[in-house]
Amino acid sequence: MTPFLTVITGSAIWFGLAILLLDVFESSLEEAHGTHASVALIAATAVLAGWQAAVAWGLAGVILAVVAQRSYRGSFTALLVVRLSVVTVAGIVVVLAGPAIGAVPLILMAAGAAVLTETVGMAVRQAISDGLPAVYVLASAVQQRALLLAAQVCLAALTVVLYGSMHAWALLPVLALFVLTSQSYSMLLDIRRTYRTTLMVLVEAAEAAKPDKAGHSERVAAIAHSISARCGLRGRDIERVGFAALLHDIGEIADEWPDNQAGTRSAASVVEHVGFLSDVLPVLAIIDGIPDPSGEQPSERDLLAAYVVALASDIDGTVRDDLDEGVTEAAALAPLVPARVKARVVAAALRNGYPVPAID
Amino acid sequence: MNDARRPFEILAFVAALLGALALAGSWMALPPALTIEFYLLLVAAVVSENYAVMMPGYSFSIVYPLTMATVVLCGPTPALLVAALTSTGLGEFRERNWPLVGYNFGQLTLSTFLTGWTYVLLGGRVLVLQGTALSVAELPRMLAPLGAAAVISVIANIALASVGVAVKSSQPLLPVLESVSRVLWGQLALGIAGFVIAQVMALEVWAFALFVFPLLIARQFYQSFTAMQDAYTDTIRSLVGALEAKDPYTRGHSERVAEYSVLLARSAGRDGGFVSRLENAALLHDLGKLALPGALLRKTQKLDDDDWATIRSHPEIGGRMVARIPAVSVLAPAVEAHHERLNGTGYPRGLAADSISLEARMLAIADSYDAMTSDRPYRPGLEKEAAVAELRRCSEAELDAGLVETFVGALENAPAAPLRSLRDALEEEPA
Repeated sequence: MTPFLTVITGSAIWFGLAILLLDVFESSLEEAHGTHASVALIAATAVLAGWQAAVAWGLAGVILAVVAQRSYRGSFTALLVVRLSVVTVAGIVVVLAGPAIGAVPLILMAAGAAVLTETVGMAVRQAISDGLPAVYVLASAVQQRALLLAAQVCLAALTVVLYGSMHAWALLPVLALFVLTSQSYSMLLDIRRTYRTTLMVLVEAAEAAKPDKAGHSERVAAIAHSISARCGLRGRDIERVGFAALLHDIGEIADEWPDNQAGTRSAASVVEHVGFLSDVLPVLAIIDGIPDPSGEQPSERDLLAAYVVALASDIDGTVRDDLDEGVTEAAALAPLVPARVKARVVAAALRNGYPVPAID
Repeated sequence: MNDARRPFEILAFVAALLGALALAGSWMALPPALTIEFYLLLVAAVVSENYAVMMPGYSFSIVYPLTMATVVLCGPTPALLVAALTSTGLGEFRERNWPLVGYNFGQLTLSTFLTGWTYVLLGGRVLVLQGTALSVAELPRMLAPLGAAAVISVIANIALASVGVAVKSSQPLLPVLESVSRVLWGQLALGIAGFVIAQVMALEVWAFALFVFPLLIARQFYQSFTAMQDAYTDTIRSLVGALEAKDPYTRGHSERVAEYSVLLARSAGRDGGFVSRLENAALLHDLGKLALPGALLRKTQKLDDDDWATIRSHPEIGGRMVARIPAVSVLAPAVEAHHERLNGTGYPRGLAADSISLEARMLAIADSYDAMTSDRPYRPGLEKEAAVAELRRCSEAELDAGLVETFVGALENAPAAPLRSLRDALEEEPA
């Protein structure tokens, strides 16, 4: 029986259904939370049932996901190309390395190649839509998902190990584990998004009371995110730049009351009791010009984040034509920040096409 | 010795004694040599027990599937050893909480004893002894011993855990049993996972890592998730408090409304999920007011129609904002309706009676009470008695009369202490 015919017979049917099930599960998650768990199973199918079967079921998975019209809406072509690349790469690994090595090293290679191909494909797609260098997006995606990708490769290998004695029954525990890891990852991303949105909504509410400030922090956060991605920041570094940008004016916003005798508070003092922002406080303190109480010099990492936020704020002022040339935020920070850091941030802003105000 | 603790100490002693007897009685069935599979499972169980992830009403630990795996792979007595050696985390030892250590030991060894011998007596094959994994042809014959062992294990664990909790906290057994039983399906699924671990290790010992690694990753994600989820209400409280602080007349208002709402919901017998939701809604109920011009909020002259129209827009603005936050978006209708009144005279929509949700009716009472007892630019705050009288007057047409009485009763029974202490005291009560 040729490998292609196995598509409609025996265990290949169950592998196909399992891939479809994972894609349906995937379509129930937010697009940004996609874990592409079915890719590892496609690689396992390529090893166990032949690569043509993997192509067939991979395509069927794509089509079903597109029909579901949830997480993949508007990206059918991109996903089709990526999924075809995945099965092709897994198939090439199987054909070239299959005869030479055992089943488990083979599945580790095939699944590794498959999830990496999917990650690269999705990173390229995101880079094109966001106008960012693909290498930065890819590095960020790998850093953020390394553990999840490793778990998926393990599960693909587990499928092959169990298949020898359990045949298609092996898919039951493996599917459960795929769903468990993907679901827990998605829940984590959900709660992180909740924190970001909560912060954004609160700042927006506070800014709304001051017409001249409305929307400033959110715009600065978007500009700062773009610059920090171009600077090569990733993961939590890029996230805390976003939080610092959202909050950089919160002290001023929160002290609107005219008979406030204490003067304007610093942004750091407003959010000092918020646990998940503890690593953002040093950045806010630098922006507000508050020295570290212990006398320590700020780290270059914090200075870079602070300078990105300050420059982003000045850029927003320039675009909106309300920048006070005499006291730009970046200029106020300039004496603290090493020249190479300033050059890196300014170059990133210019490469992103922002109108950078006059630079010292 | 504290008399209140004595029943649990006696129970723990009896459980530990029975557990030790179960272990001693099974000792003859210990294989002559323990295999690498046993030691791997033991180490994994010890590590897992000490790094369990606590979720609301659920502890995410993989000790249970690991003892199931040991039953199937090595037999009942090695499984009893794993259970006995991992029954209690290091935390309880450090705290010298001996009754808890004893009860945990008794609970896990007894449930493992019943599970292991059920599996063997019903014809379950111990995989390591015969040196092969289960084949597909064997699976149907093994379903009875595997299924019975999993069911016995879940029943024994849930029953023993419920008895322990009920005696320790002096609560009736049935509600505790009902609460603990919520983990039933999850425990059954973990039992199946235990069988898969055994099967994997019988095929390839090293493949154990392929199974455990994804479980550990899932555990890591859950741990981060629960940590952030637990801190979420405190985060909203800090941020809203910081933003409200600009106005001396509303400083602390949302936090106080949250405290009153929690007091009311608990007194009305609502469950923990409802209370938590209402607390978040209360913290966010005046979000729309933050967006109003400060000059309007601190105006001491009579407000004109335009001023009132602007102020009356704040529940809608707040509702729209809350609707954008994924975890609390379900609270948006309550935030939007917290100024609605039962007789239809409220705003923004003029809803009446049953059209106003329970959450919104509770928020209205808590909000009104705090507004009455707080100072305003144009009047000082009312005393508690006067505010209660005003609440009762309003309950004739505007507020929910039953809830108002529950709230007043709760206020009168609450200790005269600062609000934070009041809340802490409530949290110390058994759920």
